[in-house]
Amino acid sequence: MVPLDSEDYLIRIRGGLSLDGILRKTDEKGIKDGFSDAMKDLMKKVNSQSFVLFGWESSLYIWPKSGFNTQPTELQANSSCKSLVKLIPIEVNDYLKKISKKKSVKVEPLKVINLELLFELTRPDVIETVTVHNDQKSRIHFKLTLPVDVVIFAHPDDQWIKTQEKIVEAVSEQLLGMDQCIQKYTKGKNVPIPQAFHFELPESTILTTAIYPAGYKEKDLEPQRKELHDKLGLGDKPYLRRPMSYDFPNDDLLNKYVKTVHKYIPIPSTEEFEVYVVHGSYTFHHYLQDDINDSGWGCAYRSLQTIISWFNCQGYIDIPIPTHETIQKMLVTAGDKGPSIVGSTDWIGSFEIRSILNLLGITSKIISIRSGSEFALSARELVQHFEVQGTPVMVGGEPLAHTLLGVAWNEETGAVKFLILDAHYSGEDDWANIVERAIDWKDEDFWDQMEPYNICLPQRPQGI
Amino acid sequence: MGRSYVIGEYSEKYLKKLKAEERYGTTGILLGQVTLAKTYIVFAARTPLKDQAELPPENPNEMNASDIEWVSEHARQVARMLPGGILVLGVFLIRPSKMTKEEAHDIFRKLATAVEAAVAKERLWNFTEDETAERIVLQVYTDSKKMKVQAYDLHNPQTPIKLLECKSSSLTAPWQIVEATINVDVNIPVPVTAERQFDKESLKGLNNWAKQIMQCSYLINGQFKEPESLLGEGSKKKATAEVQFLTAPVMIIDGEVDALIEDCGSSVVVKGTVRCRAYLHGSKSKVKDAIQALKRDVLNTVFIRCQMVFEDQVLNKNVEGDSSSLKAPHRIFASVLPSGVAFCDYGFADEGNKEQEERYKELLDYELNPAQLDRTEEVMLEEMGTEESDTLGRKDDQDTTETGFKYKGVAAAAGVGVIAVAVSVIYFGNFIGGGEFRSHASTWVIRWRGSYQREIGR
Repeated sequence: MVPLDSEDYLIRIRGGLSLDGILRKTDEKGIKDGFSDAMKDLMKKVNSQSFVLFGWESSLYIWPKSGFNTQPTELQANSSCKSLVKLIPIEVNDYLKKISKKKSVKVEPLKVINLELLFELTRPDVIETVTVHNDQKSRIHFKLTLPVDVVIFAHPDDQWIKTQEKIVEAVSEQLLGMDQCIQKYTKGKNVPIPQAFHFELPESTILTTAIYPAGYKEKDLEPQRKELHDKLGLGDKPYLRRPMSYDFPNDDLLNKYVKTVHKYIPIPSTEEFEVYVVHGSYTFHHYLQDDINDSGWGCAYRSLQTIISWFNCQGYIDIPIPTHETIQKMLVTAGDKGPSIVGSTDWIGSFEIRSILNLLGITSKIISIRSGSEFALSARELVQHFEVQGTPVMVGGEPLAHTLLGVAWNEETGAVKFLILDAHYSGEDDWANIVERAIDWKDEDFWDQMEPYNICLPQRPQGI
Repeated sequence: MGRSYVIGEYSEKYLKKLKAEERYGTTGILLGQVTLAKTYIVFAARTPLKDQAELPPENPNEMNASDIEWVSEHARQVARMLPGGILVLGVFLIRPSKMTKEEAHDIFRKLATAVEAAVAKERLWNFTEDETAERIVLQVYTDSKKMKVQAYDLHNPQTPIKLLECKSSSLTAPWQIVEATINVDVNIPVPVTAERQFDKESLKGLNNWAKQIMQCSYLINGQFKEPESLLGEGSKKKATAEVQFLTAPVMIIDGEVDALIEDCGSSVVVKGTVRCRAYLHGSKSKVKDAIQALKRDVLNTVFIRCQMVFEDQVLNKNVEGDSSSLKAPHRIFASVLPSGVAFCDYGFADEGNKEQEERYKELLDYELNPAQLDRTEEVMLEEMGTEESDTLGRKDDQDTTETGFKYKGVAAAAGVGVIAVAVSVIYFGNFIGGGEFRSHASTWVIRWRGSYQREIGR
């Protein structure tokens, strides 16, 4: 995973590069070859002196091939990447700095340098008289704008010149990958647009990019994901589903909700415990959010919202986060409740959660615990849930519902800790406050020792 | 707050000369630059006489449709000779004494409108909303020293006609120049349903390219400059500014899923390098105006060359076989005014200078000295150009060579090398080798007359 406290810069290079050509052949192979040729030409252009990088919202233009740039006093041949940051405004989530250092892991917000890809029209590689060609045998015109999106990591002390070369190589590599995508997925005259997605992988500190064809459903891309999983040794938990792609700082800043907050707090000591947490991302839902006053009755609804967000984030479903009322209507549809529930402040529990998830095509298991004092006895089952399913869990008690995101278990001593995301939090949606008050590892005495609990364990659908 | 008009020394002298000739009824066109508040008239040229050497009627109210068309066609041909920033502003008429003045506003408006419409045919771009649509008719009276223009708002016929005095100003101080060398590479699919597969209609396909050019970003002398800043700020006085154009960021349309694959009946590909130039009056021009003028010049010069290829082709009935490659003529500038403002013409290196001299005399009524000719583009093509490409311009086995494009830092070096490029028209599958060149010289002169004939003499 990308470290939360890295000094490195993430340099992101984006642009729409045009493939445009005329073909005589009209069959699938002719079209594929046409695109392949056009891609080769494009790669030549990328490696030529007309290829230009432009810093977003800056006055900095860079010619990687010839080493020129528009601010040569500030960015010289032997400058380090640090110089870039003085010339281009960085994308960074400064709110992360406000998280209390006492409670959180060390956080150094990621700095992203955004560059744009351009070509200079006035630096032609080939100078020739204007000629008007006519071909009576032309039958097909193709046009495709490739949404190039390349990321590389660089240390501030890295030499800019070397980094520049890396950028050109990375762009060329992505073009190759996009060509492969076109070759693989073109059918007849349908040529899908290749799109790049960046993912965090468990064993890597940088992002991994996969190229998928646009217009395909997630399930139809499973064969390609399987191939990638095999190649990268990724096992059978999903990592490369498109909705799981990495959130850059601006994505976080633009998101109404705060995502995957548990990553900001330290886990219990691994010398003492084996730690299993939820896989992937989710958004945090809680009391009073979205201007809905559900204080005192809505916690299970909020927990359900968090669970549903998990299935959205991993791309198993794609629905707007349902409001309390929508949830109630779904219960009526499911036959669980009578219509009077709609608009009421009735509590719901694990069984209702299961019904709703059922409507969405998601199955769940329910564990019933007789009393809070026996919670630890279910440790093994919970461990297995997080290890295999990796979904967030709803713990429904008589007055209170909580979202359980992980367990830390000492098999020998039987000691268990619980990662609780508190749906009763009623503060602002910002990192500092949420990390401070809404997420924590709790001991076994957190549970009401006398009360029974019903735990809903949503099952992750098959496949990756 | 109205627009004011300034007439330069050259035009005043020229019109005085025509006054003295007392050939009443002589018409001609006025050329110059329109800025936010002022219009500068820098050049005037009488319309060539029709074949019968007849002058148009002395009384403008007696001008007929054919007279108007004749002047318009003159304007259209001259429009092809203009660099960026210089426009056809309107028409002048030589008239006897003021005593005979008849206000012929209807005819004048028709004239101004017809001239603008003719000139607009040579453009791939349109004026923006905040650019004036005011064009003029200048009546030059033998007994009057003052020059007064009638100004017509071509977009709003209801706007009252203004009668404005032209201030005299020498306009000999050097104008600011911006230049660029730009490559064009446009694929134009011709629909299967098109009436003809290779004609001027195909050129509509340049419209998308034109839009892209108008939107692209720019650098001036290797630096980024704010659009509202002054062109002359911070740089050496009066040096020519070299402009670089960079592709505009392309919007990736959300929801677009597939590539565009469309059928076509044939294709037209326009490919090559052109040298562009725009002139800006004074020292207070804004960067955005200079860039707009230069971009429009890019569009003009490419469009005009393509049109010439098609016109040439129609005259000579060229297209045979499955495909053909027709070379467009090069641009040759000639600095005509003391302020440095140059006009341009198109021709081939093998044609020699006589062509240009004849054309300048005919269309601009100007005695050109061959020493004034500036063949920068041809020089650049020869010194840094590559061999003729094969069909469709693809260079299969060619490595991208470092063309040694001479940019100082990132600014272009002043003065690109000069060479004449041997030109031949290539017929694919029917190559005319070595020694046999088409005689472009005669064709071009014929073209001027010919097109005149074709379009006017029915």
